[in-house]
Amino acid sequence: MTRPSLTDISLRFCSTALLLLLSLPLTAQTLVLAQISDRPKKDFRQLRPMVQFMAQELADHGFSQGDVRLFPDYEQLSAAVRAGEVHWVTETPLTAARLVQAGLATPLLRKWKRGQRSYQSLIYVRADSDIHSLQQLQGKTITLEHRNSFSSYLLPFMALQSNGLNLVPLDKPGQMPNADQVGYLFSRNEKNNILWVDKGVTTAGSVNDGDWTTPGRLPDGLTDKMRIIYRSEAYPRAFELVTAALSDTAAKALAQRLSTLDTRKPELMQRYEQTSRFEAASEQDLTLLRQLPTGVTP
Amino acid sequence: MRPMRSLADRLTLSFALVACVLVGILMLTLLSAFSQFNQFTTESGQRHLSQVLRSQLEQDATLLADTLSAQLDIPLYHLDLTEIGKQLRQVQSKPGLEYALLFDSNGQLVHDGSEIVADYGRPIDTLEHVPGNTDQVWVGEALHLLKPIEVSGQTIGQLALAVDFTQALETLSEHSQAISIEAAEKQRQLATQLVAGSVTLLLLALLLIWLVCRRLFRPLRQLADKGLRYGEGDKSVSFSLEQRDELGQLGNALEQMRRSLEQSHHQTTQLAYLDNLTQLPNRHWFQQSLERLLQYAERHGQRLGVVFIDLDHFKEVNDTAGHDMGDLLLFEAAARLRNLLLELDICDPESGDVLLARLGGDEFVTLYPAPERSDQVAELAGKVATTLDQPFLIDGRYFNISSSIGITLYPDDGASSSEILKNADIAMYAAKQSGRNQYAFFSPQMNLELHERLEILQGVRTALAEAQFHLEYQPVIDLRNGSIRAAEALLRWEHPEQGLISPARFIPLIEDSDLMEPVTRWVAQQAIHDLLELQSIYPGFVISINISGAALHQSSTRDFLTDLIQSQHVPPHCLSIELTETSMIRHLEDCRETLVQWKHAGANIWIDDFGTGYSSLSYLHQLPIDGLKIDRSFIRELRPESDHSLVQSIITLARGMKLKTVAEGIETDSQLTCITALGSHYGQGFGLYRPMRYESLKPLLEQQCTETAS
Repeated sequence: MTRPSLTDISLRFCSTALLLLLSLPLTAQTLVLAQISDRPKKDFRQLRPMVQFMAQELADHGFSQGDVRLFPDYEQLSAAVRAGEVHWVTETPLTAARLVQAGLATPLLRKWKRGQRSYQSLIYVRADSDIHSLQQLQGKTITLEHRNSFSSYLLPFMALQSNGLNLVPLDKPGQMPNADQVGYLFSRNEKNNILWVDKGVTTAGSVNDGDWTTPGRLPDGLTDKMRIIYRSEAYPRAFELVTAALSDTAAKALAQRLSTLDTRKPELMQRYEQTSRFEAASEQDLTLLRQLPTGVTP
Repeated sequence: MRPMRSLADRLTLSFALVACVLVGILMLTLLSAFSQFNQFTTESGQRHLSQVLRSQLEQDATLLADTLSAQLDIPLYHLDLTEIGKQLRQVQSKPGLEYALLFDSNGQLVHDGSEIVADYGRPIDTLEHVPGNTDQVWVGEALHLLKPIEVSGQTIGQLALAVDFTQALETLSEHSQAISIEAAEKQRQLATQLVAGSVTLLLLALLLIWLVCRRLFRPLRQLADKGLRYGEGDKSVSFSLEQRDELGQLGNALEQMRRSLEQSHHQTTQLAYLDNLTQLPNRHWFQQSLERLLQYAERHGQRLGVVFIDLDHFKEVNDTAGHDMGDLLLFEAAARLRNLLLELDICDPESGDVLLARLGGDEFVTLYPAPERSDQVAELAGKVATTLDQPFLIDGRYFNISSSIGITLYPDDGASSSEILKNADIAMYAAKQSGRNQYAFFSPQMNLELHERLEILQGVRTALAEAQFHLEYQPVIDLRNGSIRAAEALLRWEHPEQGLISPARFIPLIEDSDLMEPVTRWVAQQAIHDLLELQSIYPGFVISINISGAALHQSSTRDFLTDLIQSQHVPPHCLSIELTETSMIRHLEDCRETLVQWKHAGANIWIDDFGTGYSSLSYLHQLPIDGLKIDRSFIRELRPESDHSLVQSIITLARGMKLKTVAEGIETDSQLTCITALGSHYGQGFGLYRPMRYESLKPLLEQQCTETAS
């Protein structure tokens, strides 16, 4: 009996490795969760444990691992969804509505993000100002959070428009609109929002009621110095959506698994954007998403 | 404490003192320099460190400001107060940051890091603690920075930042103090090491110096040792040193000096140990040689013979022929003795030199090393006597001398050199006393005799000084009428202890000594004194004095007597001088001159003890003689019935030569009768008159004169 040569051993090892690499996409798929984010670091931290856990849960459906993909805007998100690169999206109603209306995703569950089942948009001014109605904002400025915000962009935008106000974007703080216009700026987050109002950078601001009422979300004591001049209707806080990339059975399994997490993995839920529970998306919710006027904003 | 003597030690000590002082000064200087350097270094280090630290802190603060401002540009641009607040709070949480404030381009506060930014919009000028006009300034321990924030080259605000570096600087100060303490400790260590090192080096250096000095001075010490040894008599010493330096030169100089000294010493020795006249070793040499040979003999268990030679009658040669002749004779005698010893091969067993020395005057001595029998020494003495007995021909004249030789033998006759030589001298004297021209071995008896002689010699001196001498006069009668015609002065010595000492005992003893002359003078003076007195009683009375042979040959005695006769105006023919035949026979010519001189002076010359001595009667013609005193031995034999022919002949001879005669020793009447009958002029003897004092003679003469007159 002759010993195998070094070349033989190397050859055998290389062919085995090649086989393994080729067979990997077939056998191990990555469950991809997506979101629009301007704070990727924070959002990765919040989302990754959940998608990784769920990938394990959905191992029967060919998922071996989970991954988070964050996109700066809707356009890039939608492109990725179209490319089939995304299985699962967790978003607020504005983006959810856009995806649904574009036929790119289906609402799976209603997400009690930050413990809120639903929320409303507030418009406020400094309490010492003489503004008491939206109309009085003409020729003034308002600060919104960001372009993809539901509660602090779409909803106040809609409210101001519906009050017949002409909204114009401003380039930077301190810039003023024409007298018949309402200039708006993005404050990026809720704290900036109220600070700007407090410091007089803008006349009015807009945040959701969750931020307004939950201690610590806004600088202490500032809300007391403000006056709310508008409250919108209540809207679902957030949705879990699935794309066509995820099979129905897998989607169902995902829904099933997520629905039971509040009892099984409360700490994972808490981590997952402080979600307190999931509930099945109702027909009413689907309708809201289909009808939401996502096009009112520029 | 012992005073330090060694030059090396003293030099080392001097070096040590100088080195100690220098090292001390050096150490003090070094320590002072160390201290200053240390202080300077520490302070400078602290200053530099402080500067570096401040510079570093400035850099850090600047970096912080840069970083912060870089992070704040976009948030400021967007007026993202939360982000700005977050950034500021992050910075503010750092220890030491006094404040971090963001101002807009108008210098109004945008954010102070607080939650609600209560001072928003406040002008920078109103904030007292913010120096808003400079980019960077230290206020106390705090660094205040003002950093503009730019976006696209446009200043949109400025960041004010103050960092309190008190703690860092305090830490630096603490470190500086620690460094100072460590430096001081190090300085102490260094000082200790320096001192220890210096002391060690100093000791090493001193040891080296000491060794070098010792080495350097060793030749000097060697020279000193050599000098000492040389001084103690070690003649093998050489001062030459095998080196060429100054010490070598000194050694050479000393060596040269030593050689000169040796040479000089040799010459001195020659002078000291050689007799100039005979070129024989002198008494010094002899004493040393005797000492040495005695030790040699003692070591080898041998005997040693000492032969003491004295020339007989040498004094007479000097007196009669002069000292030059005497010296020549001594020289000749020495040469004979030397040749004899060379012939006999009697010499020093160690050096091989002839053992002959001149002790002084006419005394020679020779040694006989290791004689087996005493007659070997006697044989040598005999040969010496024979050699010297040969007549000496000097300057055309013959001189006859003989020698008296004394012999001692070590160890029988003495243990020390002085004793054995003294005894040899005694033996020689004994031989001389025994009649000259013979040798004698020493015997203890001789010693006694010598003692006696010495006592007598000393006694004579005392007697002269203390007037123990007196004269007795034995009258000489005219046989024709029995009257006293003259008297013979006889010397008497009344010794205070021994009583009367016979002239026969002491005259021969002093005859060879220098006492003969003073005694002769005293006798002559006393006798003349008495004679002159008696002249008043008995004009023409004659006193005779005896002059010994020794005195006869002394020109001083001759002249003294002549002068005395003339100065005292002794009447002619009143003083008679009696001489024995034997004293005149030697040097007859000289004797005649003396006698003529005395004769001219007015003295009579008589031959004493005539008939006993050697004589060819011819001298009776040659000498100016007045009379003969017939020796008592002839008179003693005179009896009526005996044969008188001999005395008859003498008297006849005298008459024939017109000489007077005195018969000596007349003791009996029959002798008186006989001699009177035989025709002698005068008689003398106990049978007539005993010797008497002047006090007795004078009345006797007075009585005779009275009787004659009556």
